[in-house]
Amino acid sequence: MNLNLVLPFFSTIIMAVFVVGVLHRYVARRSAFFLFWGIGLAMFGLGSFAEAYLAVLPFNAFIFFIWYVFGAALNAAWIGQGTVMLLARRPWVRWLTSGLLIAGSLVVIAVWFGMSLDASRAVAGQPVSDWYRNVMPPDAVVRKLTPVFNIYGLLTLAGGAIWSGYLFWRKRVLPNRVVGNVLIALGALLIGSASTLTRFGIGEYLYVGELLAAALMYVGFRQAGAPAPAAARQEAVAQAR
Amino acid sequence: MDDKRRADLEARRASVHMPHTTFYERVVPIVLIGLGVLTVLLIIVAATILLGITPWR
Repeated sequence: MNLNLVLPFFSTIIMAVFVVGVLHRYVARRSAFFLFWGIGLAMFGLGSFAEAYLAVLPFNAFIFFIWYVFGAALNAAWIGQGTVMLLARRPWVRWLTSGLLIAGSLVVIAVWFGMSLDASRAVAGQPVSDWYRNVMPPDAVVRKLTPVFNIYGLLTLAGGAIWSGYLFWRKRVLPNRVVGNVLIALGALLIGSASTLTRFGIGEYLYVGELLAAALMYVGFRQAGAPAPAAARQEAVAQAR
Repeated sequence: MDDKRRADLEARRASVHMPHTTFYERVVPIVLIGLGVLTVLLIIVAATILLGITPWR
């Protein structure tokens, strides 16, 4: 049995647990960064589910849309936007970047539905990363837009996690947040590297990359969010800023 | 484990301050620099793909 057909199921399970945890925090605290993280992680989970579906069941255009648009194009940018909402001090930066991301995401969706797919090129029983480019037109605009979102996602998610880790390390406080941010950055870089390899026609590492990224980011978020004594934590966060 | 050692461990766990260990003093900064370099390299590769400099499929 091809391991790549099984791995997306595990990624989906991790992401489902992760999304519930993050959205639960959003409901409790109403902080916008939890909402963006939750939506981005839900996109990641939906992408993994679509991957699992397309690997074992016949081609379905809507599932393929979910896999590409949410799983390949948008999720990293939405997760990264959560980090921007957390770290950016100026409200106009948060509003502008959020507005651009939402508008850009709508453009991607509109471009997708203006594109014709060749379903006969889909290969049942093969990982979707092996054949997706054959189903799409050779000059598909959506494939040219994808790197823009992924560069933004990598810069904000990995860059933001490294920056946060550095701030806490510099002040020598909240060691759990340092380790958590290192794991989040590592997860983001893993999935970024695996996606980049797919662009070069090497798609076999995408699924193991996704699974490891999902696991690392989940552990990282849990570590970074682990409770410290409230008064001491506030003092430490204030110091780190 | 005696009471003094247990109290010491609990105090360390409750503290928000980073312990002075080789891990935090040496390993973490190297890892952070490594991750930063990897991020920049990956963004450069992605940018060359975007600009059409690197051929992609």
